[in-house]
Amino acid sequence: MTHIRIRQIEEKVMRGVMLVATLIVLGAVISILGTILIRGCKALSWDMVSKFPGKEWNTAPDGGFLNAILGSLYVVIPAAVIGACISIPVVFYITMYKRRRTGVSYIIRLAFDVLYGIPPIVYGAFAFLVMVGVGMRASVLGGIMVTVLLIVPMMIRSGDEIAKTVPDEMVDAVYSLGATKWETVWVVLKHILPGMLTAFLLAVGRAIGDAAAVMFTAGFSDQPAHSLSDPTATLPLAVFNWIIMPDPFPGRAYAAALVLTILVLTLSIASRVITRRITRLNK
Amino acid sequence: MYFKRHIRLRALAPLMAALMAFQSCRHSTQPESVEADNLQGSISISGAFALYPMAVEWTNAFSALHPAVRIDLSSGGAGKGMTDVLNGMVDFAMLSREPHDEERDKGAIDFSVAKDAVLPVFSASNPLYEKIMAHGITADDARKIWITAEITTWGQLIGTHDDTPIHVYTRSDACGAAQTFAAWFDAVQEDLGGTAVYGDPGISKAVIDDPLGIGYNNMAYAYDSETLNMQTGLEVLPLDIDGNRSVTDEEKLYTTRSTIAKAIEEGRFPAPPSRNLYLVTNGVPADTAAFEFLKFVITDGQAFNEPNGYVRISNASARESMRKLNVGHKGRGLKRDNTQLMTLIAGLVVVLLFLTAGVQLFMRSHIKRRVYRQKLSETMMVILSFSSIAMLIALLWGLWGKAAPMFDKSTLGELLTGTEWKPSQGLFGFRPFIHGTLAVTMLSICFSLPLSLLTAVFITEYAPKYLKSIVNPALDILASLPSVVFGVWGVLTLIPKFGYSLLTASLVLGVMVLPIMVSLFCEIFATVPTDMRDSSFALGATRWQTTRKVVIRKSLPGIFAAVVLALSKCIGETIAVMMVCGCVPRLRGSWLDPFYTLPALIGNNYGEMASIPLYESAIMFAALLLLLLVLLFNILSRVMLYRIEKNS
Repeated sequence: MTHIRIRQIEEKVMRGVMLVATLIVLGAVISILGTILIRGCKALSWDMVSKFPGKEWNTAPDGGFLNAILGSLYVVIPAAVIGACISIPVVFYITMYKRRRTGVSYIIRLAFDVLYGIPPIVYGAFAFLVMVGVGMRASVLGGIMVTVLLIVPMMIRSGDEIAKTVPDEMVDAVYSLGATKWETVWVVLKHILPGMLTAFLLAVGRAIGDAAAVMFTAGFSDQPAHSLSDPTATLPLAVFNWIIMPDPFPGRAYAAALVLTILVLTLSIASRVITRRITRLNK
Repeated sequence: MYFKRHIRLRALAPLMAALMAFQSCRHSTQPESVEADNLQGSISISGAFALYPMAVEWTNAFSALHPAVRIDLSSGGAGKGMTDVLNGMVDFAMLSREPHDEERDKGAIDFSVAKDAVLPVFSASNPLYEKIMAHGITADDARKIWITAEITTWGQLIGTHDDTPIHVYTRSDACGAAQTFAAWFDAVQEDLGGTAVYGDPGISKAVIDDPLGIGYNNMAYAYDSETLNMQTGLEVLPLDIDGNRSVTDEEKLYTTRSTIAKAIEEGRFPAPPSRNLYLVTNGVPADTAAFEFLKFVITDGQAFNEPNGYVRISNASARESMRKLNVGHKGRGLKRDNTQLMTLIAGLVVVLLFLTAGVQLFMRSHIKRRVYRQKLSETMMVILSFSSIAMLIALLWGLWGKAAPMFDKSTLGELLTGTEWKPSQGLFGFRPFIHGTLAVTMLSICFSLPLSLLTAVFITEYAPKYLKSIVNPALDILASLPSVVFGVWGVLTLIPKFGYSLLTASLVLGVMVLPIMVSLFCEIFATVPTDMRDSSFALGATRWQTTRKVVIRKSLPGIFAAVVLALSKCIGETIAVMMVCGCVPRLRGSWLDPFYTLPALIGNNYGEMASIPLYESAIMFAALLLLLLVLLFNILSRVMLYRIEKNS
């Protein structure tokens, strides 16, 4: 009797503890979003997202940080496109050309997994070395280079997961019609393209929020970038730099953080909507 | 066939368009003519915070004269500018300390362009405000506060028995302000104690917010740049120049930035802490735009100094600078900016790809074409796939190559266990950094592991559907937030409570890894067969007993792997940690003390690389160390996960 009693109490206590834990997690999310939203909305104005820094930028509210928003896009979008061009073939190679379980694809997968785990700051330091070596300045191109390094392992990881859903029978059926492996790629591509799009958006979201890598390579400037060899401001780095500067900069940092959050959340929601639609279609 | 071409063109079109747009823009900014009134070209400047506001004025005035010249101005501590200029990455470095001889040997030429001072500051809301203002501070006092820590209370400073503690702040990044300030009492930056904050504005902000704080600021940041009055909430601690333990009328120099500027110009203020500010070039600029800019700053530009609260350079030093400008060895200009060459190479690769793909058009036989395409695509894929391994090797080899000079002087053991971090004396002890990195990682896992485990169990085993539909999206949001946002959250909500400390950083990191762990745990729990749970229920076990003894036990290896993954994420986190860690390398400290980690070390100091021998190697060694740590953890968790996958 008492034994059962204890078990029942234990059950109830644990339930309570778990509920509390979940509430703490929810609380953390609300606290973060709330802080960013409240501080950001107070500081954000239309001028800030639609204008370049003006002449009085350093002392008074004059202009906005459109240069940082554009800078982030200049760096991340080309990097994501190049990243897709590199990672889709690799996904095909390790899943189709070498069937999943061979040693070669195991080694390559392991290598990309390891690359995925390397902190962005190490990529940043390495890219800085290379850039000094070949005589490049901190520039949009430098930022793109290092962002490609970040994005490719991410996309391959998720691409690999998606490629698992391609039924072997389908591939075999295409082969049996006499198609070469290359021709089979196009059939499979149709199957995994929506999934890769999700992975693409998620990777862009991750890359756009990363400051550590572009800190060394893209530089920072109050001027909008006009070419690949100009340094550019990026949103996360702008937040990092401005939050410790005297007024009016912290307000700009909060506004930039809000813009960054909105950007990233939009990407994440878009990718989720796509995933949901695909799973519904596949059913 | 049509489908194929279509896709390929579609994928490449935006890329090509972007490249072309960039290239055409680039051409319009190329220097074409060099007439004085139609000057073109681009000038890049980076470096010290101290000179930044002044440089903004000069560049604004200069671009009003020559609208076609593009000027890139960025500030990030003195070291950054020096590294950039010596590496030929920018035209000018703004420097707020005396140049080292090593730097002059490498070709740096310094042009004195303005003067200012570094001033000790404290909060205007200090409870002992009046007494402190009347007592002032001597170089000896400052030494006892920042170096020897003999003075730890405000009472000790002003000679009373008041035991309100002094909260000491210093700079985390290598900078001229700290070096000049330390030079005032014959020390160097790395000797300075106290909570380290990034950047000049960081210190003034910290001191304004902390009534018991003391710090030091460049003149430009201690005063408001609009009104030239003292920043609200900040007060300059008057220097007791004659050492008579009280501030006399002659020592009250600080009412506005103009009064202190006048005092410096007339030599009534000691140097250091007043100092020269320099523009440094790598040889006399070969580029016309850069040359004209420097000439402008030394001559006409000086008119802007006083209105902005800086001190003009004397006529003698202006003449000296002009002489340097005319007779100094010519620079090779910027290291040829190879960015365009790189773009060209990338373009060539694309063209080459199209050419090799185009070869098939000359093949008559349909079969031959197909085989050719198959072989070509396979080669490409092999190259791309194996580039991952090449990349890993290049990373290790490159970092190792740069870090190797460290081992000429000290052994691996000395580096890893050394506790002293004094680069200018050649002491590189990484132990405080490794210690800090591991401590913050462990502590954040201690916070997040129980939380995420309980949450994951609740979601998978207990929670009603509506709760799941709240928690899951919330976790998704948390997972997608960038780390700088977590940093902002830490600065705004946690720092006011816990200060720059291990605890703050651990909480920030803990929350950051929560969504990763929860989603991994949920996935792992979902792989435990329902039959197993059912049979446990059938034996009369409660839900919690089933969870504890069946579900968790069954997924133990998976949990382990997930934790290791989270660990490696924590170890490498840079930005969020840099914002809240306080950047003090120390071995023993409580939860509430500031600390330092390996990634933050790299992030703060890559700028100082050029000026101190071996510094670059040390930073690269830190990166290598970090890489190896993460590699170790990653491979460990991968091996675990693959083993699980094989078993199931």
